[in-house]
Amino acid sequence: MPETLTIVYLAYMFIALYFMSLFTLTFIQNRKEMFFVPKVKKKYSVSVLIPAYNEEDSIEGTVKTVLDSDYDNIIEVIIINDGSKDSTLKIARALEKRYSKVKVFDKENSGKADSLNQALKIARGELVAVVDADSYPDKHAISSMIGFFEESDVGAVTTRILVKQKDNFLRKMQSVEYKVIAFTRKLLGFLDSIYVTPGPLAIYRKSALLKIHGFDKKNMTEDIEATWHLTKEGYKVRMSYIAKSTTVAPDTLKKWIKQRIRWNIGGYQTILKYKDHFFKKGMLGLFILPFFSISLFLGVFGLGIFFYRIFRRILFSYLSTKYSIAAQTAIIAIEDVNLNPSILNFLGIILFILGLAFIFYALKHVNEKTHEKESFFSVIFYSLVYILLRPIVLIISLGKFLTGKYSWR
Amino acid sequence: MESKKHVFWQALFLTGFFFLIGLVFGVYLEQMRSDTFSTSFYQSEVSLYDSLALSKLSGSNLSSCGEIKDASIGFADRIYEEARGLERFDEKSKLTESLKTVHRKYDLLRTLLWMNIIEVKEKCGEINSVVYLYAYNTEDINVKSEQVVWSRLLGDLKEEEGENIILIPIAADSNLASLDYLIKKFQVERYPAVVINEKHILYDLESVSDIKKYLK
Repeated sequence: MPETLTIVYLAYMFIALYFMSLFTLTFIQNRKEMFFVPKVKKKYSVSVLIPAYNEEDSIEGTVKTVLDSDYDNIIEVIIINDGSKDSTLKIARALEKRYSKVKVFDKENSGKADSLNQALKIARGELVAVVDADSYPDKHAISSMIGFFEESDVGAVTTRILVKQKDNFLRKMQSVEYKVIAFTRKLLGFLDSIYVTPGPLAIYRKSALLKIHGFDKKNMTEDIEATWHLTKEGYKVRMSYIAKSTTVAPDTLKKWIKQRIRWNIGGYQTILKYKDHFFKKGMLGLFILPFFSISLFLGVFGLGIFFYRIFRRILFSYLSTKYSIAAQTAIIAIEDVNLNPSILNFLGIILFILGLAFIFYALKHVNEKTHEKESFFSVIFYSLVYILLRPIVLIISLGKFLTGKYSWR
Repeated sequence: MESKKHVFWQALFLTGFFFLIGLVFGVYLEQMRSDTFSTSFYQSEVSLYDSLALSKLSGSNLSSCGEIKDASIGFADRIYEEARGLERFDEKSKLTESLKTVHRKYDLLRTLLWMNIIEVKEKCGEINSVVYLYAYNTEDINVKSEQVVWSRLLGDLKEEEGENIILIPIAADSNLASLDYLIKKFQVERYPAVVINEKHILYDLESVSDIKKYLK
């Protein structure tokens, strides 16, 4: 009987292989539909909501990009100033004067979800587009998303979210990550399993949002929660792969960690909220919840094993050095280097190569339409180092979540 | 949009298929390694019987103590090297117990050698035996690190002393009745332990020069 750790490694490999097979098969079966955009038959009216808190550097650019959209039935662009302490309100007022479609809704600070809920009450459009105040949808983004609402049960449509500036190494890493996420999210769309409609650009059917009573004010990731809620209510979520919205990604490790902690805590909150739906009929209970939970659990547990192994290795080295000194013998000998790989090493390497191939293919696919390129080094560093940072943040987030030490800002 | 959820089952089937291939390959690889050592084991087994036969002849004065001593040292050195090779693969064996079984068979062979050495000593004397009893199945990091140093230390001793000593490393927790009897007889209380000439039992690490003091 193999030892416990071997069984754990094999279980990890099986799960990783399963998801890789799932994504590969889904891609093979749907590759012709990846860039499919349904024809727009009905010109839905769209209200664009831009919640803003201290966004003086980007708000003008965001609003102008939205106004530049080629979709001709955007009836209003509502900037919700969420009690900003900088000159966001002043800039918003100036935009309101300059552009007839722009409206400013000023309120005290109460968080993004509440801001959106309040704006939802005054929005007149049949569809509501949410755009973060530091994000920039493409000219064709909104128009290429509208067609998906021809299916009456579609409640929300998301798009590719990409990094705007790749001016430092961390942002280059995030650029790779966002592209891989975009690719896998599109594949999840074919399985009715999109689990988030991210803030940089998401369009909702207003009636669907009203049915779920808007966004959850208590949740740190209102976009994840809203998506799960819509799925629970039987709505479908689709993704327009041809459209894109760029967003400003954190440029320092500190900001990155802060952002990821918020995302993870939001994830934990959402799992907890929908825990009763585990394995219940529908994609939320049968796939989204287990998939999301397994990802978080494997990240945390895997890191636990990793640290346990590292700790044992360090302790072993310390003790053997101590004993070697006491016995006046060599601290290290050539015989100690054991280069005979175990079968787990072989399988691990094969899995890593498959994962790398998947990442390279995903990037090639996403970059085909954007004519961008990722350096080989970035992808390798992303696969070997950056990915390992995520479970560390997962653990920190779990600690904060369990102790209740978190806030939106 | 038509339902495409059958892909979940297809992926499960595909994963099961490739996973099974991986496991079969793993078991085959470990079995192959085990077979290599099994071949060496049979050769060593023949050498041991040869050595045992030679020591039997000493009673009838048909062979000299020198010949018996040389044969025992030659055999001990051979299985010492084989054991080192085996252990390097042994810890990499994850799916099957085949190498562990080979390891246990080697432990029995080394116990037989030890018994033979004790017998030869009674007739010929003049042989230094260093029996290293270690814990094979331990997960105790302290014991493991101590054993690594012991094994390095005894390797140095063997290198310095050459044919002057017979070094026999045996996994003490191999569950062998004969070995358990010897351990009990020499009152070995814990592992790792080094039994020198069946008189001195060392539990704590000492330098090579200190260990040499116990040799004849």
